[in-house]
Amino acid sequence: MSSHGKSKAAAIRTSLTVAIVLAVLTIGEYFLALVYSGAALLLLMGLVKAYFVVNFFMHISRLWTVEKGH
Amino acid sequence: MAALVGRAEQYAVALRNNRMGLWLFFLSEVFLFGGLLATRFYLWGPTRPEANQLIGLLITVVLLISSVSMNLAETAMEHGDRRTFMNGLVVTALLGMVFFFGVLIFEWGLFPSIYEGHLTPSGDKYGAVVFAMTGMHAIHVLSGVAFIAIVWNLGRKGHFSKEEHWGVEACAIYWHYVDLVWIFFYPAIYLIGTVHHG
Repeated sequence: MSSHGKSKAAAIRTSLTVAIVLAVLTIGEYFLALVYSGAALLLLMGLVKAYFVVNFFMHISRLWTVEKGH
Repeated sequence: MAALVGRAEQYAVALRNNRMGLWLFFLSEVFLFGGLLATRFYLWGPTRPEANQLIGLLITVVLLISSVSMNLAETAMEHGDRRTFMNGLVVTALLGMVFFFGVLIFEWGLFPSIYEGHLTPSGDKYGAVVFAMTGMHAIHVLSGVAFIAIVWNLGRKGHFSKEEHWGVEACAIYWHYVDLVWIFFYPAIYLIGTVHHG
């Protein structure tokens, strides 16, 4: 267990799940753009991807959690 | 024992301050990249330059995979696995360089023998904006690779531990920020709008 309270296997599982979600959304954007050229939907998909990166890769929640070091 | 507890508390306070400082830095960068995005929508409107979408997708996927390898490297250090941490950094830096050269070759057309690009920074509003957006982003990719090299070298010398690895965390978060910017630049350059045939 790390000091962030997750086992290594669980952390890797989360990483890979997020990666799959990001890959699906990215490829989805590509195919969506073949039939749709508007900004709204494509930027919305970007916002969803940004949520996953900021939350799971950049660990924004650590800003307001109290830890004793790492 | 009291000294050890005192040191741990000091580290925890420094860690909170460091994290806040890094996020404030990112906030300042939002204005830079947000300004570039606004420029794109103001100047191009509902159009975009003719660009190879498959290449755009490929370099985007390369950057996405580099974010995963960086996350795995950080996770490895959080669990004291130095070997995976070091390997993860090398893979991330290599993928970062692949992305960088992908931009130079396919977006900037710097190597016409490999790929003939048609955009120039002073050619028209499409070239100017593409070069400004990808150039500013590429500088961040390069500085991210330099950051990774520094952290890798420190890791090689035995710095960082399961308990104390702020440098690793900062490097990882910076790299993901570079990826985050591209999440919005990719559709803005390659996907949104109808193609303008110049």
